[in-house]
Amino acid sequence: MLLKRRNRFSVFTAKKDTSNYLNYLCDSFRYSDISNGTASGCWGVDFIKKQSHLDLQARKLLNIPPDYSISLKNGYRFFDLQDLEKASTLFNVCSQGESFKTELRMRTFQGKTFYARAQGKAIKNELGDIIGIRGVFQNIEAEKKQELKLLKSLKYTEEHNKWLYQLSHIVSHNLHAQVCNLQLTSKLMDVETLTKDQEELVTNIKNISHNLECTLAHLTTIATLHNVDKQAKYIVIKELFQEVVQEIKKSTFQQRAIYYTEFSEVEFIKYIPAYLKNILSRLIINALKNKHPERECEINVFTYEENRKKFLVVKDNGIGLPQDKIDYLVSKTRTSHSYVEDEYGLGIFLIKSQIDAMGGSLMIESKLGKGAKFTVQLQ
Amino acid sequence: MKYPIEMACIIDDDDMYVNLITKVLDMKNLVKNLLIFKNGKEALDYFVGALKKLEEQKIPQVILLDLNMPIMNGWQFLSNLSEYDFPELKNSTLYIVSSSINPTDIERSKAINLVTDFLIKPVTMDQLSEIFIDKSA
Repeated sequence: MLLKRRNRFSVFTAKKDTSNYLNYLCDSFRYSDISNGTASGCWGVDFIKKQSHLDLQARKLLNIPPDYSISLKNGYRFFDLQDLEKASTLFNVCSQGESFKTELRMRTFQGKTFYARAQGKAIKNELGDIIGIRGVFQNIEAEKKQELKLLKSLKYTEEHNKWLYQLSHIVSHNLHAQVCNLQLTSKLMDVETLTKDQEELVTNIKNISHNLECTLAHLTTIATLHNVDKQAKYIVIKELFQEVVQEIKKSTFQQRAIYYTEFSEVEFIKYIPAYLKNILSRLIINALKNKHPERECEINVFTYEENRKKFLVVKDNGIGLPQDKIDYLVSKTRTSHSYVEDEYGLGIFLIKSQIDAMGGSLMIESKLGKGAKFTVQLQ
Repeated sequence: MKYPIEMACIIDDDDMYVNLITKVLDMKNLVKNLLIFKNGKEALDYFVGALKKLEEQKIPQVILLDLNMPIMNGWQFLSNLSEYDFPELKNSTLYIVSSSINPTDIERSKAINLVTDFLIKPVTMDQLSEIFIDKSA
């Protein structure tokens, strides 16, 4: 009986008592409701009777005339030529007992192509022999169109972003070359031979070139940071510190300092290398730039662990910074402030966004005239 | 007059930069003969010519090489020159002097034997003195 029922792809049982009949009505209502609502139809192939079957909804989806009977021989016409081989392979695989779930292009009776989501599985008798296959397919043309549109727009956005990064690289590179020349020229100018007015003008040029260099350094940081490998790796903090100090020494920024370091409590950490390098480098450069004019620049760099959290500290004996500036630096709202005039400015904003992105936080403590302490909670 | 370096060269297409560096080198009397090439190709032709004829006195002791140049850029120059594998070049010190801000450029330069160091523009007067005086020491 079970075999017979399955062969007919029928839903209701042999015994037609009232409750079963009600169940059948209920099931069939639910089925037609679902199939209508989701634009899905049923298909099947009976290997014993060598018959193919499509339910009403499936015929409707494929726009098949009522008098047209479907068979394995004419079934190919309902698949788009490009996906015909795929459909045939899936059909064969399914005949061997494997289920499938896929997306492919189908065609209506009139040849109109649409995207369908199809699935199928083998039907077995009590002995486990495969006696047919059946499944459902769903018209997902609207959904697919939307998906393809989204993919296209994503691709466009990606390409546009890439282009913007390249542009920012080229622009900052070209600007940098000009600023370098301007700086060197202003350094070569002999102000002593000039009149007071002219000397003032030359000083202005020097300041302008310095400010340009600052803005450009910020632009450079942004341009390079977004392009880095975002894979977190284990970093030996001592080695990173040495690398950063070496690079600062090699840069045009020349400021002597005495460093005190202690990394024994937290020797290494898993972090995005480019981020941690930028954080450490910015904090040290800040300390160097804000040196107190009356004393040697001393910078303490150390790590520690507290409540399973790891911290990196950069502490200096520089000029320090007032509370309102600290509030401003750690606050998230920053609108009409010029970063250029500000030695801490954008640099801190950038490292703060990197620290936040890694799930940490930045604390700033300072006493005016005594120095500043930047504590980075890494993890 | 005694100069720390007999011969040096700048390979750079930025006229203003070349002009400024020349001024600094002159002011500080750091080099006797300074060669200037506007791109990698001009420099490569000169180097290959001199090295093939074994005219060692014509090989600059200090080479300042830019990266972004027309016709033949700094990387192409380095790759072409490396292929010749001239042993005489061991006496020269080559610095990449670039306004490139790309960290991958710095990493890339580390893998090239001919390159002593990577300097980011602007090169200060002190840096220049250091390069030339260190080389002569």
